[in-house]
Amino acid sequence: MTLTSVLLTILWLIVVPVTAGSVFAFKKDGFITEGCRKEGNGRRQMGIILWSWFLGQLLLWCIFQIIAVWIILKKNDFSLIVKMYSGSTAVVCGVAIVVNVIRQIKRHVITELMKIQTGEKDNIKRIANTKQQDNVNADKVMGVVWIVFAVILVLQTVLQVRLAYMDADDAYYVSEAVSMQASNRMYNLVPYTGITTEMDYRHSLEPFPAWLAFLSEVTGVRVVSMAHVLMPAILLPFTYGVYALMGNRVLGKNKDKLPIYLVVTELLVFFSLYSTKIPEKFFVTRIRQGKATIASLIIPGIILSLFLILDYAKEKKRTDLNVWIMLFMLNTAGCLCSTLGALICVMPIAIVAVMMIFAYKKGWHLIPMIIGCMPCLLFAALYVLNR
Amino acid sequence: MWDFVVNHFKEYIGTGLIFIFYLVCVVRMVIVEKRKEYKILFVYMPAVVLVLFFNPLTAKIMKDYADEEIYYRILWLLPVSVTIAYSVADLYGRLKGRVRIVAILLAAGLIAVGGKIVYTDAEYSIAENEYHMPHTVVDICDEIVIPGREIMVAFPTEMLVYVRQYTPLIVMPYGYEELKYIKHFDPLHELITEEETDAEDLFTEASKRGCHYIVLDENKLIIGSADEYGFEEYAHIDGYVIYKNVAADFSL
Repeated sequence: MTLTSVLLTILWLIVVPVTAGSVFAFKKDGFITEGCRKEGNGRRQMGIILWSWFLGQLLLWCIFQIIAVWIILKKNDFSLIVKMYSGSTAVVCGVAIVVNVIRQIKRHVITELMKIQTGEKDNIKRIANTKQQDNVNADKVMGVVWIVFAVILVLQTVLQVRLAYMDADDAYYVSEAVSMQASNRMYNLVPYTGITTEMDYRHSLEPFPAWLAFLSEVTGVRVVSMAHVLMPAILLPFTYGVYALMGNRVLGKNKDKLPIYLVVTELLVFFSLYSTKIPEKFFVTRIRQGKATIASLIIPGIILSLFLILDYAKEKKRTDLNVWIMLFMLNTAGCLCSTLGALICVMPIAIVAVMMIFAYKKGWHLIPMIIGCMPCLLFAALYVLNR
Repeated sequence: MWDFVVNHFKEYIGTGLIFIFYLVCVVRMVIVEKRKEYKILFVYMPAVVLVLFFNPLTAKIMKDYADEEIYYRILWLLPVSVTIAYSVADLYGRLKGRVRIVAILLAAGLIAVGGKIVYTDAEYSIAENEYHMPHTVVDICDEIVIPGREIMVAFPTEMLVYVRQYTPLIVMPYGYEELKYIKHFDPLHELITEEETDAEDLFTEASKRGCHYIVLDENKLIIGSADEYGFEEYAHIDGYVIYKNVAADFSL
């Protein structure tokens, strides 16, 4: 593992998703900027970056799933996935950059026009008021809890790198990625032994190992190091970032209690050895496997998107299109992680959709919710057909 | 079917204390929370998930169409962490003075008592290298691997999980899956794992299976000589001995 390969991993797992996701997060009248409006400057920026990261990664997983499954079922080579996905990522990032530049220019022009209309003094006063309010809201106890959160996060990330966790399922998932990268063939070798076999349709519909192999290919880090060290070290803070977005929303007026929410979440992960089947344990021990990603990232993401949908319904406002796009991307990413994703992602959406009919006496949300679930229904059908 | 469902539930809740804490948080939400969206997402939706989970029909569908071992994963839909974390933060917001500090410390204590530090799991060990696998496996693989071609190697059970994670250039006559999940009987694996093995049986079988090398525990007792059956001692690494099939094709 060289410094260059580590930097390339940071590029592919942080910089690229943040850039791709900025197309959603910087939308002026979207749910993200609206949700972050009442917060202090630093926290607002952090919120927008986290949303960009989350939505960008979902978008990239979504694209990867579509490209990879299509190529695998066509029995093409792994190298084609690398080419097509790299190209698509470049296009998505390019579009995101152009869109954001145009938005910034527009905003700049509008601000200049406002300055001419209202005078600069008002603006200066407004900024001063915001700063004053930030200072008033500063809470010493919360400051301490934020430090506790940061310490536990750093500790868990360091332990992720310093401790090795033996999980027998890696003999499948990591070895499959190793085989793909080396042989350029996909799902026709038994990963446990390396012996040629018939096409494994079931696993080919959840090509999370192909994403792992892709990361290894573009960064030059060996698959095994990517899976056990680099990917978990980045996905761990990323997942806590998603939990922070969730906490920020569900806490509502109590947003300043977010660090308590996060520390409790960290403790639940830290003390998760009471069962081997819970998402918290999967999260900390084997985030490199698709099933752990679905448990710790995709399902909380679906709960978050459902919360946003319910929030819009309560406010009797039209749901931001980006929320529906997020739901669609979560479902597609769920299928990338696990074939079970097709069932497990749809279930809470279907339950909440039915409940909303009774709670709000309207059925308008059913159509976008069904569209959001389409990837799962499609991949479930493919799974049943190829069983 | 009922036992199947209950066993999955028991395995999921583990010691059960955290799950009780979660249920208390849900009950608190039922009593305190007035907002419809919170009740839908954190009370009613989980209730329906539990009803579906304990429904034998769901269990039957999962058994027929998916892997029955993963039935417990339906319970991943219970927002346990979110509900507990939200409840603790919300409670802190509702209380005043020192009581609220006591409340969060109590919650943290409950989690610590109800749970167990995940890093004490027996499967954790200090990483020996950047691959997070035993260095012995790395050393053995590096010793025998031939860049540019695959070789067939038989390993002892404890190494099976790691070998192909490290290198795709080693192919194995039997793998972890066959032994662990399919309970497949493999004669060569049987000969390798026995404490005492006849050299003729072991090396003839290895040769028949196309092995270029076999890796054995140094403490294993072999009755007879490897040389007589086309194998020679190639190297000793970290308590393991590697035998090389002298008649095998090693060309690129």
